[in-house]
Amino acid sequence: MTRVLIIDDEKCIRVTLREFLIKMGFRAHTACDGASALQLMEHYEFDIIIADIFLPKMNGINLIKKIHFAHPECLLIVISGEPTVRKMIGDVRLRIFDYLEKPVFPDRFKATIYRAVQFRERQMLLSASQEQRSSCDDVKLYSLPKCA
Amino acid sequence: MITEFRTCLMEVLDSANLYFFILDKSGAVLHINHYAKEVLDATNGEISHKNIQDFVTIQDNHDPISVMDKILSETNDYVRCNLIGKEKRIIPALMKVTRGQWNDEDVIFAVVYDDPSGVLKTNLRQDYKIRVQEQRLQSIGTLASGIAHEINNPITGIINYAQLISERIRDSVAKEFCSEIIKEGDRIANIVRNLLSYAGKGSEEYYLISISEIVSAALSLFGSLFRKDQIEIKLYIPTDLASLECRQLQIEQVLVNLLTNARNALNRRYNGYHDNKIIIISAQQIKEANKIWIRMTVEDHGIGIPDKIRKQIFEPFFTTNAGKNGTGLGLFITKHIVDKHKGRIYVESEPNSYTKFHIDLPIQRMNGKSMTNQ
Repeated sequence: MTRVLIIDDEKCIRVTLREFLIKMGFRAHTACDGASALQLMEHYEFDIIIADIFLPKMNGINLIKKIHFAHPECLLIVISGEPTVRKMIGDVRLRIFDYLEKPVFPDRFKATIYRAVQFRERQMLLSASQEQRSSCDDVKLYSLPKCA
Repeated sequence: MITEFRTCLMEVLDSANLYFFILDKSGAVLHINHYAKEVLDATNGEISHKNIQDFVTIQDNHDPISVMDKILSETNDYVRCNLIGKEKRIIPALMKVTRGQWNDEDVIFAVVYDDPSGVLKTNLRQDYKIRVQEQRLQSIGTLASGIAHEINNPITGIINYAQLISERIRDSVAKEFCSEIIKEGDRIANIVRNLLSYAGKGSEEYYLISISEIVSAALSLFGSLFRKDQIEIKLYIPTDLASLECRQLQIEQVLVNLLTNARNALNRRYNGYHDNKIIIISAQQIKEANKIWIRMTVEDHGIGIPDKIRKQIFEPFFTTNAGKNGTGLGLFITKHIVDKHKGRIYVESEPNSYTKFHIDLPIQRMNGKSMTNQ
């Protein structure tokens, strides 16, 4: 089951987005700052992380860099009330799946999550088929019929 | 130390190419610098009998007014005036006054600059005002950015909780209430977004934008003001109108300026509600000189513009609303923006009947060439 982590210092955002995710049938966890998010990531593997860029204790961009380094397969969705955030992120050249500008409306949020889940599933299928193909290639390599 | 500094300051002022007066509260001249003495033909012996009114005259809308009235009105602006030189020669000038202390007395310092061709007017007065206006917009921008961040968090909470409640209940009326909460929350978000972009945080690029989008963005900033003033807005904007290649925020500002003037004109004619207290915003497509133009018209049924001032309304600092909120820059900036968009602006008006501002903008700035930023 898809596991999602929401990192935001605003309680109303953590609670409501978590509720949406549970209703959508996903496992949802929340963290109110970067340090507690990193702690949770030691215990769980997350498919999608939704993070506010302005967080207490740790700068959101530093947190994103750490997540990329430790969990490169994880999809990141950045939320922020600051419209210049895309430029800021662009400046540090980080790979972000999508941006959600606050206020985060339910429909837009759900649509973004479904897209991220589909992308993640395709990503996993692709890596699984690549693994399978490479193992098939190995088989083929050793079982090619000899030419007549 | 203070005495030395004062002597030094007086030497600088005496040798400067400007007129410097120290006056008492009645306008009597206590001190005058060398430059003023030379040009105005005032020798030391004569100063003690002179008053500022012997050297400076002020005209406002062609009527002479007392210099001291103007000085005592505590204006911080440069005041356009005339100096009376040798042989009664009139010297156009700009005056700025401040209050201070001189030999333990409350005095008025008046600095007057020569302004023979209006150069100083544009360089000093205009630049100063425009800078103040820009700084004001910048502060609004900073403030709006902070407000947007603060407001968007609770709006997200309000909208999302309403959605969650709506998903948990079956009562159709309560569901309807939830959808109203979401709709109103969306409205707040929209106002914040528009305020943010109006305050100058948006792009300076030229883009294709629909007129109805620009009009609704400008109107969203006026919603409560118009409701409070009981002003009705009528929109006549065809849905099939071509999009306009423009700097959206600037054209929004044009509309905001025209709507501000229309609102003032209506409020000055009608105190409360009136059937005729309306602003009509219309747009149409016209073809002229092998170009397609969008003509936007803002019409109000307010006090109108008297014929005698119609030529001056686009001049900087011309205002009929001085002392209240009028900066005299609204139509000046409006014209400047329209000119930048290679458009034209003109006015039709009948005093105590109506005012119509027409703005014609070419839908493409460069005859179909690319939309590069200039």
